[in-house]
Amino acid sequence: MSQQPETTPATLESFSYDDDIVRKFVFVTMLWGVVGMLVGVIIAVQLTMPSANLGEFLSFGRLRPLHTNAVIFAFAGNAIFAAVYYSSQRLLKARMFSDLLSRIHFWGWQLIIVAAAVSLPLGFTQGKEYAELEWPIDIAVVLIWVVFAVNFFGTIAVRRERHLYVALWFYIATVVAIAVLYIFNNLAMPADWHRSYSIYAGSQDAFMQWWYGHNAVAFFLTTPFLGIMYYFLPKAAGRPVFSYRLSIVHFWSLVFIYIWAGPHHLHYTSLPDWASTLGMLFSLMLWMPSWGGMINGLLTLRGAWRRVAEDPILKFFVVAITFYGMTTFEGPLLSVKSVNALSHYTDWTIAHVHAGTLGWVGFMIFGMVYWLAPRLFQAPIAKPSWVNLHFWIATVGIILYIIPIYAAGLTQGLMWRTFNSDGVLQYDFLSTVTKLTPLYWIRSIGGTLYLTAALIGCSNLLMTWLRRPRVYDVPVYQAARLSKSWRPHPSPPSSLPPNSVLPVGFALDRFARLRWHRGFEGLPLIFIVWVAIAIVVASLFEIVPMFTIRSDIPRISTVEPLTPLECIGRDIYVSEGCVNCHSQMIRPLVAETERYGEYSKPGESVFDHPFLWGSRRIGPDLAREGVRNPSALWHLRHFNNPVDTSPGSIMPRFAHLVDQPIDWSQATQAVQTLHAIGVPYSPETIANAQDLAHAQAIKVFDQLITENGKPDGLEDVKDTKVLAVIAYLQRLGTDLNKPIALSPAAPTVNAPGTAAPTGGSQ
Amino acid sequence: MPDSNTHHNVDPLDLNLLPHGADGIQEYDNPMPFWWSAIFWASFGYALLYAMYFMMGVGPSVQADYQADMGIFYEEQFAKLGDLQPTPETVRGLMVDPKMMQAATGLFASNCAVCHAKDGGGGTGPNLCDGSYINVKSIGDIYTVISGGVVPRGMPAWEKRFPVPQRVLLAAYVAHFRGTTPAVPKAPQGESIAPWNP
Repeated sequence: MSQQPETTPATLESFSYDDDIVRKFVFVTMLWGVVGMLVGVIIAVQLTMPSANLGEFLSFGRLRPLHTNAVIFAFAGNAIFAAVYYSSQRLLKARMFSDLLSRIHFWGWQLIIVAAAVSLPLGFTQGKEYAELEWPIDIAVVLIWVVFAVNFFGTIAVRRERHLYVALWFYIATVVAIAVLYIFNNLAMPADWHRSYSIYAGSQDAFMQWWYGHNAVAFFLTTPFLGIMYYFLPKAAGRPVFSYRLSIVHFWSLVFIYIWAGPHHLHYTSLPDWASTLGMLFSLMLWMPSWGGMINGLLTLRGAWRRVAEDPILKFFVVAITFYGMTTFEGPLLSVKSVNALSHYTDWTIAHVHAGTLGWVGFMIFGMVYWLAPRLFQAPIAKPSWVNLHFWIATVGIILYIIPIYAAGLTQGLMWRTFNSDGVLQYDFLSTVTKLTPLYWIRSIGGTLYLTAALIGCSNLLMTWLRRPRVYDVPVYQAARLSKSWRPHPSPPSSLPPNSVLPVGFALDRFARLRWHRGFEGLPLIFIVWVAIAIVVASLFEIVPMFTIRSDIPRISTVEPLTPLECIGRDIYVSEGCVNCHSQMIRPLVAETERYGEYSKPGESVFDHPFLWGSRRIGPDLAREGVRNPSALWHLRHFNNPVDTSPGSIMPRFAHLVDQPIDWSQATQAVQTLHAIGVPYSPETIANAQDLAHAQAIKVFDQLITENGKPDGLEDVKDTKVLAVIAYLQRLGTDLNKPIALSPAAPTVNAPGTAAPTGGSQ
Repeated sequence: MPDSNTHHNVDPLDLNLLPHGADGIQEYDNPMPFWWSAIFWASFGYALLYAMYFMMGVGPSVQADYQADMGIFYEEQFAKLGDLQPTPETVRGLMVDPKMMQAATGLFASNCAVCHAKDGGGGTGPNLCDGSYINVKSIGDIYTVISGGVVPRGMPAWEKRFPVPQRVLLAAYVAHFRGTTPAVPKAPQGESIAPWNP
């Protein structure tokens, strides 16, 4: 089909490619990569040595989001843009649609990264994983993404190659899906220029977050990198792609199935059972679509394995694809509910993620950058042997990272659920943390090796860049314009014998032969629309019931909104990044309710904007902290220096909470904003928010004096932030079993569906 | 490979090379490996059956599973601890039973040690070893304090968390600290009271 001339040679057009923009993106990929990895090493060390938490701005809770955002959006993000700008121009035989848009895209994205790097340590966060950036930055992200989309789709519109190659399909899925996911998960009501509350609450917010969170993995760390694989691997190996048919099947199944899988992050939580079940099943169905990519990658190397032994670029690609295969097998495994009961909240997830990011994403990027460098800088790689060195050090680094962290995850998960022969939990929480310290040290060494290897790569690339010619050669290419009258060929008729099957059989046979897809690849607009339909329809299948079935989230009459002071406390909890280490979601599992108390109910988080269920228990769950530990004095001592109350604790000190005064105006701001998104505060509460907050702060302060027996040493604590956080923690989990306020004489009534533990003798 | 014996000198894959290419990249049109297609479709089948079983009310919900597990758990614990009654006699009997005190160690370490220290020496909460007590006048009061707490002073009420036998066991464990020597004793609080044994 493609051999058929579409125009006469007389209409050939001349054009050149914009490689300057690719060089820019490659440069920042490596720069931010090193920064993101360095922050990763710092937070890894902080978990072994709490003294490495250097004050308010550089403590684990604030640096962890900086690490994840930097490596995802800055390192992987810029690499994606470099790849898209390099390969799309060539696959489409067209210069990027607009050089100006390319520059706006580049500089806008770098400004966003700088804004993130400044705002996250300052504690400006929405409190949702990988969606921490506050609303002004979110708006900038969306605008820049639109610039990118216009530039990319514009280039497709002015292309001189009729058919879209498979790499471009994956880029299209990325551009469309990320826009949809990012916008709808980040919808929030601003309370201030640097503070906002998610418009969704509790279970619904949790659902939206992991619909987004899981698909950030899908459409930011998977589809664009499959696109990179489909372009750079056959280029580097000089071999044709293994199976075009497999590309089609695994692309469409991946795009349609991935969207559903998010709820597997929320097994055994207050998410409704049906959503959790769908999340698990679609994750299982995702196994082969993912492996389709792995097979197409590895089998493309058939006949080229000898070159893999010699060419470090191919080594990077082979290890990357192998890690992709491992991770996409492990993903479905972890989504099985009973496996997840063990793995959830542990380092197993961290190991899984890093196998994917260090192995798959990182190694694809390094392989791509080494392949691009001589072509972009028009000079041979300065130190070819260093590429090999980079590969080996980084590989050892990954192994030293993931093996101890897998071990840590299993160790802690098993310790949490161990009962002694008397039916009592064997290990207190802290002993399950201190047990991991040696493993955390090995992990830090692994991460440092990976970072060191990246630095070797950076110096090599820098030296290569120094060897660039004074003026880059910009080759001019010629190709014909596409004819406007082109129509796809009808797909060939079914080859089944005439009259052998019903007409529908012939239609199915034609469909299954997939020849029709070739015509489809020549019609980008229709292609893009179908990708958007697949993503949106699949999303709506879960989102619509999630927001309409009211019986999934039974209201509990005793659960009331937080008081104004508790709202301030919660704001501080979010801003300090407590959610990075503490979950607030007790699962209905015996070992869990024995440790933390009654399991969490959907009705308990209906006023939670955003939800704070967490995903990792580096510290213990806090869902029932108000029931378990109402001592104000304990919390004060613990914030001031955690090892005072909990020897061996790895929690950072939060001494600044004891120094900084409460900003009382925040109370009004919080209740007003929350009221605007549906939290039922009375007009009196809103009008008197500051007085109410002040009165409660005095109550907490008085409790401190009562507990301490004397006011000595507590004078400085008056009116400081720590009182708000203590008030919030004292409230956590207490509403469920509190007496109904209407009739003071009534006995304690349990909320529907709750059962207080009853022993044999009760 | 289905076509592995057709041409000996030619890579059988080359027969499937498609005529088109993009930026010099070519593609084969090899069929999907059989095992790939088999697992692909099998996973759909499995998902359908699983969904029917669990989403149409046949299989137990997560909550029902939990209630069943909890029933078994309490039954086993009851069999071990027995029907412990919150009486001073029971507490006195338990506190001199080393096996029972061993059983209580984990319970105390997980829930009480944050404030009272693992060895009872106290921290945010009072020292349990020194014979002085704030809210306890006799051995029977320990159970009452554990159950109802002293919430204004930071002591939680445990009656919603643990069934009676576990609280009785904890009371005995607290009582058994008296007279022991903790690593870092907190200064006595409250009043010194008469020894436990009559």
